[in-house]
Amino acid sequence: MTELKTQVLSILGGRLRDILGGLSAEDWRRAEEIRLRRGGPLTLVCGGTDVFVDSGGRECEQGAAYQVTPEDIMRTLQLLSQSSVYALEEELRRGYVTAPGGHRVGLAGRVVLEGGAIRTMKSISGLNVRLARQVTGAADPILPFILQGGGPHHVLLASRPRGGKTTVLRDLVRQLSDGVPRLKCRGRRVVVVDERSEIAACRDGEPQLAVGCRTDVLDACPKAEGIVMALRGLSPDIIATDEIGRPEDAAAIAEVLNAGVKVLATAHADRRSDLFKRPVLKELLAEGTFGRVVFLGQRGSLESVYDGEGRPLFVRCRAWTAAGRG
Amino acid sequence: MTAFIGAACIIFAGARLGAIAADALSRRLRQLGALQSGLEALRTEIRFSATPLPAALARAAVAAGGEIGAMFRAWGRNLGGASALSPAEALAAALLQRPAPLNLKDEDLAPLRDLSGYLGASDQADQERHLQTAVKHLSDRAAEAAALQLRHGKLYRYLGVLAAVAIVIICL
Repeated sequence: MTELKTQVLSILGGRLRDILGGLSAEDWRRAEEIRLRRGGPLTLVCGGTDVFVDSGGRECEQGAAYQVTPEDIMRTLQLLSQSSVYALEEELRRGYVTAPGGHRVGLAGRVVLEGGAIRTMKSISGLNVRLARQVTGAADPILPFILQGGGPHHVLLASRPRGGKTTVLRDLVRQLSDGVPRLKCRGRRVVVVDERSEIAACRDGEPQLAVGCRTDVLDACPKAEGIVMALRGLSPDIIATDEIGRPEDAAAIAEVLNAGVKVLATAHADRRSDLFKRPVLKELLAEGTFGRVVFLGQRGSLESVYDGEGRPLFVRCRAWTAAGRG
Repeated sequence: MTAFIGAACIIFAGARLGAIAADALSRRLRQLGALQSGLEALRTEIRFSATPLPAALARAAVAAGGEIGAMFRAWGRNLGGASALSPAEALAAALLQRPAPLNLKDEDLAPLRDLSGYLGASDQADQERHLQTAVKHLSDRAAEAAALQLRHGKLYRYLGVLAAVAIVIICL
């Protein structure tokens, strides 16, 4: 926790460092995001709920919250960019910056277009610091379902947004890369095609989160191109990537299947029927491409696992409550 | 004998003072040149490598060398770490720290101060424009300093010796 706090405070400028430095250890443990809006209240997001913070670093009502100043935003941006906005042109185009420790800072401001495409962002008015937490062992419940003969199936992890797909995928990558002796799985060469720098959270090409000793990362690389690059140059046993769904992703995955390399991928979907509403995924699932389709519930908890033919291998029992019946 | 030694000391001191004044002019010219070299290196680092400012300033320090190099180094150091100083504040702090003696006038540093207000705050193309403007202003200052050195360099040396001789004559 101290390390996370130090990492996050080191990128906060103005009065924010002093104020948030005064938060209790419990607040830091619960915090998922820090919301900074110019002229708006200093807000923590804890368990999906907004918590306002006053100038003494205490939880308070909205009206008593510390008002984030333009100076706070400007100083934080300076620290994030090392006073070098020109060095973040790609990040400004993408709308976020990865900070040391893998924390993602989303940017809000005026978007500048060129030829219909985003060129940059200026007049930054808001920052959203999403705290990156490595959950070691997040993939433990899934591993027994996806391993067969010491190696993994092709796996699709699905959940609603913020359901913990990336956290579970990261831990899956780490464990498969390092090896899982208790399940008689030796370490595999893994390539992570990390288009949005979320899995390994690279900063200057260096993973900020543990992804295993046999893992190579293609950071900020478009998925389809990255998968082909990995196949050609890095001879992986496994390729992992986040949020597939475009036709070119399916074509690249077909290449991987022909090369005998396993795929770990994620997709947004709450239930199995949601996956079939997306043409590309529907096609991949109909062909039985993914030997295991894993659905996650809240915070990466295992909800259900299906095999390539759609047969359930595991379904979590839900409590039968009055609310549930409704 | 004592009078002779005294006269020699006065003439030596006068000549030395004249030389110091003349050297100050040539050092100013040299430092203006070094400042331009440093900014050109900074422009290259920003334009072609998008190097973050602390590292880019460290490389500009090497290109500039000498007293100006020390100033660039201090500037970059002040920007790095968790200080959250803006480039303008970091430059002001570097000038206050005086890592090496500068022979520049306040107006000579004005283009640098103006530049520091924009440095790092925009995209590469915009940064390049600001750097080019600063280099142009410095080159104007350097041309003026060169003309001044040509006009007054020798004059200060002669003036030092002649003033000392005049003092000796009056004392005798």
